[in-house]
Amino acid sequence: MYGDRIFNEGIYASVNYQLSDRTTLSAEGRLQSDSIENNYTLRGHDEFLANSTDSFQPRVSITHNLTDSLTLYGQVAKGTNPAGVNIGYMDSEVIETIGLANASGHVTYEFDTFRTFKEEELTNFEIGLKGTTLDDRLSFTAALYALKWEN
Amino acid sequence: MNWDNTDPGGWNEAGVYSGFQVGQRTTLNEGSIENKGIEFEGSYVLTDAWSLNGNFTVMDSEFTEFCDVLSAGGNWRLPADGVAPVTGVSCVDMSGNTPPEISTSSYAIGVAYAAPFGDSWNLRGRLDLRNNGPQWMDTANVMKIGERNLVNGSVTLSNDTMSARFYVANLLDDDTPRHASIGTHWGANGATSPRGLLWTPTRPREMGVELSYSF
Repeated sequence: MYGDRIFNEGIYASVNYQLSDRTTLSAEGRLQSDSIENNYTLRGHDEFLANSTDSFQPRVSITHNLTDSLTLYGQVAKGTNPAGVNIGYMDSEVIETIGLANASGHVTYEFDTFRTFKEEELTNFEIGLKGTTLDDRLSFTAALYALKWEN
Repeated sequence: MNWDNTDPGGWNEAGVYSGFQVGQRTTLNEGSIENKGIEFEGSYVLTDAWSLNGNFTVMDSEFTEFCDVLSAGGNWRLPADGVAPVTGVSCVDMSGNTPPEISTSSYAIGVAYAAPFGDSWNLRGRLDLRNNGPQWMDTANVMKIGERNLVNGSVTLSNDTMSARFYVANLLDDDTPRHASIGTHWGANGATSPRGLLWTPTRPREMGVELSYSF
């Protein structure tokens, strides 16, 4: 009925640089290509839709060991949620009923409005503290973050 | 949200919609969203056998830019709440609203036990409380599900070949729905396009015993 073929290709690289005995700067990046192909064969249909995303996802982080058991870190990163398809909107029955619903004012979108959806990009800012205390009996993490999703 | 009277014009008492509909599961973009939050997580080893763990999250989340196509047109209606159809526009601006399915606060706490039991057995146990704050289920912030508290626990007695596990899930029998949505349906003749209300109940309290033997 539904058939997905998903292809992912990527190149990843990272580098760490010791700024001091206690501070490390890291940078990494991923070049990625995502594509999806979808077939729809329900009720005699033979429909096909495809979508693809090329993205670059960098990340820069810094860690600083305040003490042997307490680490402060910060990072900025970008991520992606690849574009995709809603193959069911190729169905002739769906096309017809959306057309009728649109004509009668029940909906404002068209039969092909949702056939594909765009890539969503995430930008993440985060700072945090990790550590152990009380003879390593207590371990903890605290993080402050801000995320932004866009498409 | 009046859960007892969500669409009096379309659904009968058995919860079956009276008309023929065509629906389509849809993934769609939801504009731009900003989340800001604080997370704490920790664990404490009380003794060789007992430990505690927990986490706490507070988050502020809102649409910074989102014009919702699905909320425009005459089919946007929740008559039980008196929400008027939004007509004359191609989409409805949801900027400033909280995105669906996001809790602005949540926490979890747990206690665990693990120690030898006799010469050749081990006894392990845990009890966890997971809290999820209220969540909006729609972009217009009309439909909200409440706070959920799930308590799960288990006790396991095992040796090299055998194990017996008693478990309980949802000990408090929290019946807050896990999820709810207003599905868009198109009447086959285009004359009606109601929004069917779908909700997913939380699994009720469940207790059981699992026995296993390794040959």
